[in-house]
Amino acid sequence: MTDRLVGQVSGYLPNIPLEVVSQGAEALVFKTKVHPYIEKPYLQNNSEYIIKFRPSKPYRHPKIDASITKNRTIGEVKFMAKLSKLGIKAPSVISADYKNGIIWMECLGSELPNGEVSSLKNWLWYLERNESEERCLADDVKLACNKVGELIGKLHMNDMIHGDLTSSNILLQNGEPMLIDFGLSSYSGLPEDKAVDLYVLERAILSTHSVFSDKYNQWLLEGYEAGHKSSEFGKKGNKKLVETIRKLEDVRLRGRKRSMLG
Amino acid sequence: MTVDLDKYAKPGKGYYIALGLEGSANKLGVGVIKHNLGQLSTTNRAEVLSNIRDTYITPPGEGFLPRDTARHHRNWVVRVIKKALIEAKIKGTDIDCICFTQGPGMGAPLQSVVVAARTLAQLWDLPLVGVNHCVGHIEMGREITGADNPVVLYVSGGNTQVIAYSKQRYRIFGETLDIAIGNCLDRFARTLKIPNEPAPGYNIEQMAKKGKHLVNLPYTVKGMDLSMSGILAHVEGLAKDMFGKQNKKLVDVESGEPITAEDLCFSLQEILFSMLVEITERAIAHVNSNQVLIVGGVGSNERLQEMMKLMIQDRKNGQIYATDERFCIDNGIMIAHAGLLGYRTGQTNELWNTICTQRFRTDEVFVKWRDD
Amino acid sequence: MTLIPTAEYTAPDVPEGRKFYPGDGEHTTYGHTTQISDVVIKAGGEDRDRPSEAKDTPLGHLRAKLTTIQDQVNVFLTERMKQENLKLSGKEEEDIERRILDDGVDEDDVE
Repeated sequence: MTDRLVGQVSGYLPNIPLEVVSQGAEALVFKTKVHPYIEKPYLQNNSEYIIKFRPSKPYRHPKIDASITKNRTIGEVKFMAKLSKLGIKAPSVISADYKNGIIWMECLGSELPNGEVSSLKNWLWYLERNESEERCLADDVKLACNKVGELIGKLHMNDMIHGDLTSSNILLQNGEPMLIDFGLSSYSGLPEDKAVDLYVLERAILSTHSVFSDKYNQWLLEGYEAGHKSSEFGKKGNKKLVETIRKLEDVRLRGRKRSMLG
Repeated sequence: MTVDLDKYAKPGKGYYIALGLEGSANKLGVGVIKHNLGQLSTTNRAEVLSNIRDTYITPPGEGFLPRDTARHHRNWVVRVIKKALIEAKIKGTDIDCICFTQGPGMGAPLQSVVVAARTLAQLWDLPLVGVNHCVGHIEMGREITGADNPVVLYVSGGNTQVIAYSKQRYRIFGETLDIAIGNCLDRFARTLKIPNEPAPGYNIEQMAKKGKHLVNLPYTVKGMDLSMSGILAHVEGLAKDMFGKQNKKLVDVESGEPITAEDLCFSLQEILFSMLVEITERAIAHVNSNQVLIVGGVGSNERLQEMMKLMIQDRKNGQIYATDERFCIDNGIMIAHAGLLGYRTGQTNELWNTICTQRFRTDEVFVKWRDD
Repeated sequence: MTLIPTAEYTAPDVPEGRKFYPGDGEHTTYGHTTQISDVVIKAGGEDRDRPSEAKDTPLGHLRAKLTTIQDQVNVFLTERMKQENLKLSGKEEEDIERRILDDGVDEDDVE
């Protein structure tokens, strides 16, 4: 990460000690021990907080840039607020600065033995690099994938679309998954939009965890189905599930049969 | 660990020569490449002996039909091959293998070129090597730029993919969910009746340089994928309002100045390229890389290269690699080069196994020549 | 030296096969089934990709005769596709050949 970016965020947050966690594609993630307005907040983790900063992107036209930064920051905050209302696991928002693209939020997740953040991606990569094949396909991996699928099912049953489902954007804490990164999120009841959401995840798993992707994707879908069949949704769940899965098959086919015509 | 690339070398010969034939779209390309024995490296580079191309051009407002494109390739292929051999100063007997594009691409043109490849192979009694067009672009890009393990943005008339290597395959991390970027630009060029010579995308690029007002267009990134058909429909709608029967005048809200065709080209490029750079950056962050390589015809667009450069400068030790139009735009040399890598690791296609296919995904190819 | 190309077509429903000979007469490299599309000419395009004329050499004559054979084969196959289509759907309009050659539809997808 370059000094220019760190300088930018320090300018917006003077006197806040920041520890760099990662540079994602569109945002920088920092940790801080400072809560902006309460000393002992009512949060699971009240010793550390995450600051997510969307820097301006010099490659974009300033108008496109300003509108993306603002819309995504607002969109993400609102989405997280709605998730918390619905009881779908995700970090809680503490404060936000839309214009400068800053969100202050709860710090969740834990550390893997290699010191990395416990995202689904990092965990699966850790297992693949350090453990046996059996370990990569063990019951707890299956259970985690099932739970992730279930979580997405619940999201979709509420007509909420994540928009950027990858194994990087799923955080594990004591085996319980939660979703993060809602910059591309939207609201839609259309099976098409839900199907694309699932397709994006399926493809991300295929490219990122190619060795075991068949199993992982199967488990994710099983969980997704279970999420819809939960009693809280009644008969409606099954109906929506069938629609989305049918659309998913369409979207997959489109992917394979895309015209190569110039 | 490195792969032994000389298991199939001819005894007593210190090098390999491959002829490559490309014709998956409207460019017919023939190239001759030479590899010396041993690993390819900065001190042992592949040598381009010749790289000849002829493009099928259609009148303004028209796309290229498979039928006519195939006819162009059929009627030029002998002349282009002759030119490539003369420029390379070689004879048929100097060649180790004949490489051809097996897909993806348009069926009829692919089939017309593979007939030429089969004929040469039988004429000179040489093995055939089928090459995936996308892998051709990637391998040539790596060789020319020296990028060893980059995230690849592959942008052309028929393809839009973000690719990264892992475990002997080029894996697709992001791609278009509908039309390809080059297709999108070409179609808009047709709407505006911009000439197809030298290339519709090139002419859009020149017009975009003169545009200055940004028109609002949708921005449709979906994770690491993107969708472009909605944007095209939107901008085509604006163009039809402005230049069709309605003759509607649009003005820029801030300056009050009229919106021009150049502004539309500018806005379309700005929005599409922002999306491309964004999904590339997403893939880079996702696989923890810091190198990006741009290949494919649209990759020669200077604005796209500039934007990519600005993106990568903000990443730690970020590096960008791009090639010029000789290698970016479809060509025969990349097919020769990637085919020769396949040949050196034991790939040859028997005659029955040289059928071309319109759909041939990048990740279907087992990359035997890499083991990192 | 005279070189005479021939072609042979067999299929499960044409077990006796069908043979093609160039025959006597004028042979040129301008086949009537391999002309540029009308759309290109109508849009103001010119045909820059005409095949070169056949030289007065054995290979040149072979090229010209091959073009004649190619015409015969094209006509034969087009007719066969039409009949096939007629049998399958009862309609002639579907025109598989046009869809493959002008719309770029994959052969495997033609139903």
